[in-house]
Amino acid sequence: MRPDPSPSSATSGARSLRWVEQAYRLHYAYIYRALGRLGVPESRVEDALQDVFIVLHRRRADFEGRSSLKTWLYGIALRVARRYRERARRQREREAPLPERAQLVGGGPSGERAAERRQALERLDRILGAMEDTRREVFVLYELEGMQAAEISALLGVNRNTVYSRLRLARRDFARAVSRLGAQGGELRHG
Amino acid sequence: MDELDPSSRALIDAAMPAAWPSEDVEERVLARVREAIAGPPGGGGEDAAGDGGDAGGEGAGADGGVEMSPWTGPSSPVAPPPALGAWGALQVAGITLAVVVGTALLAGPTGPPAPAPAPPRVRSRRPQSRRRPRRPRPRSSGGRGGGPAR
Repeated sequence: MRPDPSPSSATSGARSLRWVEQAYRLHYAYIYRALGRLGVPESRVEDALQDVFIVLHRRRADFEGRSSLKTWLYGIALRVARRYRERARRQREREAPLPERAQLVGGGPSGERAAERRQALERLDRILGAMEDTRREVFVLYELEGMQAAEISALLGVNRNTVYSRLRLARRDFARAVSRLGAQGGELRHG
Repeated sequence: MDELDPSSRALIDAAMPAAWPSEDVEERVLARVREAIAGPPGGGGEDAAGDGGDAGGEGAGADGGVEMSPWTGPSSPVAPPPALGAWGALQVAGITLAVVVGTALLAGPTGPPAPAPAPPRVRSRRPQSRRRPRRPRPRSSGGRGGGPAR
């Protein structure tokens, strides 16, 4: 079910709340996933997710349907994530280990397979975390979230060549980091 | 355009299944969103959340941060500015009046406005028509210095 994006449907409080709820049900998982990869500390992802949908509620009248609602939400998520990153940088939250992840992904397969996935996600986040912010945003949106360059260009307010340029550099950085990890035997220890 | 390096893609494919939220996240965060938007159960309607409950604190200003998009304003996403009220309005009116009167007093008495400076005079050329027409010189019949023929 696609939420009716028309502002007229969101004029009254109850209707706008329903609209936000519909949008939430449809997209929360994607936004959650993206927020983590965009550098929101694991312990703050739920707060950031909440913020994204509160912003959506506040700005619902601005949604004109020129992009998909999902794309619009990614735009909000980008900005929310920047703030959290900045805050985390200041507080050095990122230095904290990631044991909470095990609790946060409890819905997946258990045992060895799940442990491998968690380890892979840990590596992924470490690599992304070392990446320059503008490259990272483009990389996450394009390679992980499957967005088109045109959409990213509109979201970030940069031209398409800039998107491609950042993506190329991000891929290079990422590949180098992956090969470094491979040379280290794939192990990545914190601290 | 280049493709992503295969080992990079392999890492992403291995990692991303673990990036999804667990099942309980959906309802937990939705409840918080609802509360932030509509207020706590039994409370007021939209925006009655007051200080925003969970929406406040660290995560409140989702659009109040450093990097703002054109479509996100500087205020908190949930808490509207407090209403002034009658007493507040009266205070504001009093302060405004005091500022206006003070400014007027500081400016001193004001006389009639000074006349506007005269526009610079532009010397115009005498119109051609007012020039004295040149009288045609009669042709002399004689030689130089000769007067008109009689």
